[in-house]
Amino acid sequence: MENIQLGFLVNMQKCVGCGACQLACELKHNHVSNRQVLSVKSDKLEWGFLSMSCNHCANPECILICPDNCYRKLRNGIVLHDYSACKGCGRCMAACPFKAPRKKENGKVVKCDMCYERLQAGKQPECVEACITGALRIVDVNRPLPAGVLKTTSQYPIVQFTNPSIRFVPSKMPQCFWRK
Amino acid sequence: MNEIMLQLCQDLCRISLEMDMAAKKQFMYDLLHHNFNSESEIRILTSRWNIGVDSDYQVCVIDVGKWQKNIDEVAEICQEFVDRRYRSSILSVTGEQIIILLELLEEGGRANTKENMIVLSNRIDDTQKEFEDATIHIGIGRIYHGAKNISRSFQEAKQSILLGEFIKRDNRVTGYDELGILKLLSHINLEEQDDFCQEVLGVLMDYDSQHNTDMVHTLEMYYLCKEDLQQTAEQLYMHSNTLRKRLRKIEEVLGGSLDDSEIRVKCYLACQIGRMLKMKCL
Repeated sequence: MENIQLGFLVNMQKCVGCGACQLACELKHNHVSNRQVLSVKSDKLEWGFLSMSCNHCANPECILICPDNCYRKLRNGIVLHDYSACKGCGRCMAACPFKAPRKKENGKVVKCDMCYERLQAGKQPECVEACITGALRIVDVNRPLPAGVLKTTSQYPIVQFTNPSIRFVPSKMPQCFWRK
Repeated sequence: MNEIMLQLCQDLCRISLEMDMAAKKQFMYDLLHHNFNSESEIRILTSRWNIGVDSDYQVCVIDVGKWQKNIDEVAEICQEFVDRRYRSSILSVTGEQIIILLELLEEGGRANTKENMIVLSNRIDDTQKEFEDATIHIGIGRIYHGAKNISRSFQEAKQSILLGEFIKRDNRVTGYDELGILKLLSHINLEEQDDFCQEVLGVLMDYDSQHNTDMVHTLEMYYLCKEDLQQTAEQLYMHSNTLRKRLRKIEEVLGGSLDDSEIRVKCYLACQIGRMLKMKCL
């Protein structure tokens, strides 16, 4: 059995912050978006955008904390939430360092499932397909990745203890083409 | 003809054994990650693999680190060890980790897991002497009832490995129960932790850089030794009176007594955070 761990690769050099990934997710999941586009800023300049959702951690805190065993991790590393078994206690929402699980109006929790049924059908997740610049990709983080791909970025340092399956291509300092 | 038949039988046996091993590995993955559709599926699969669905379970994870090349050899040692000490166990190898699932059938086995794992880590050390600088880390999850809760114990064991080294230097075997405050700290952003550390120990750090002293380290060691003056003095290679004098100076710089519960908690937390940040593990 191969040790596969799927995760998102976010290329911050390509992301223009259009929010298409967020909208695509919202459309698929009945007005609840499991993805959020954050703007990463420095003191003076806006450095870039970062599209974040569930990071399908190698050591998911949600599996540990859920009293009803609603979470499971598939053999390809995707962390799934069983919506029908969820009682909406909200413990996973508090425990997740990335605030990936979100509450619906009925009190139950939903979270990103990496559109695993689309992956099974050989398609890409909705958010990846909607990304016009190709800033979002699915990769196997256990395989060697190209140079320049990092586990964390200084522009948006993330908690590492859950071993999140997200990788970054950090954004560059914006170039100024006109006279100061 | 007989030779061909014999060869065929051997090949079939080998293939069947390999398939069995692969299926067992997949089952272990599912069990450790709660990858089941329903409780009835758990019941069917556990009975197929001869695992009691209503027993008590505990998971130990062994991170072999630099011994990855020898992982099969280490796994054999582990298998032999657990077979001798536990009546029912399953061992699985994934990447750099050896996972041991213990089915605890008698009361005695519960209390002894940590001691057993310490013995096992020493035994691995003895057999793998060629890697002098390599160390293994063992994490132990808590005991849970029922096969459906095995994934919790597994996650706890993995967290214990990650956070265990912050409890004590050279800590190799860590139980989830021992993590204490670290469980909470691991959820907080590094920046916030750093701010808190600066807020509490900033004055002491400034004093250290101005006077070329090592007061922060003294305080850290004092808490690591559970406020035992004699032990702290031994660890810092100094006389206990020198240590007392240093602690008085620390109190003076911090502007309060270390016996004051509020200052004590703040300083203890700040020291823990300081060590975690230094090791850059989170």
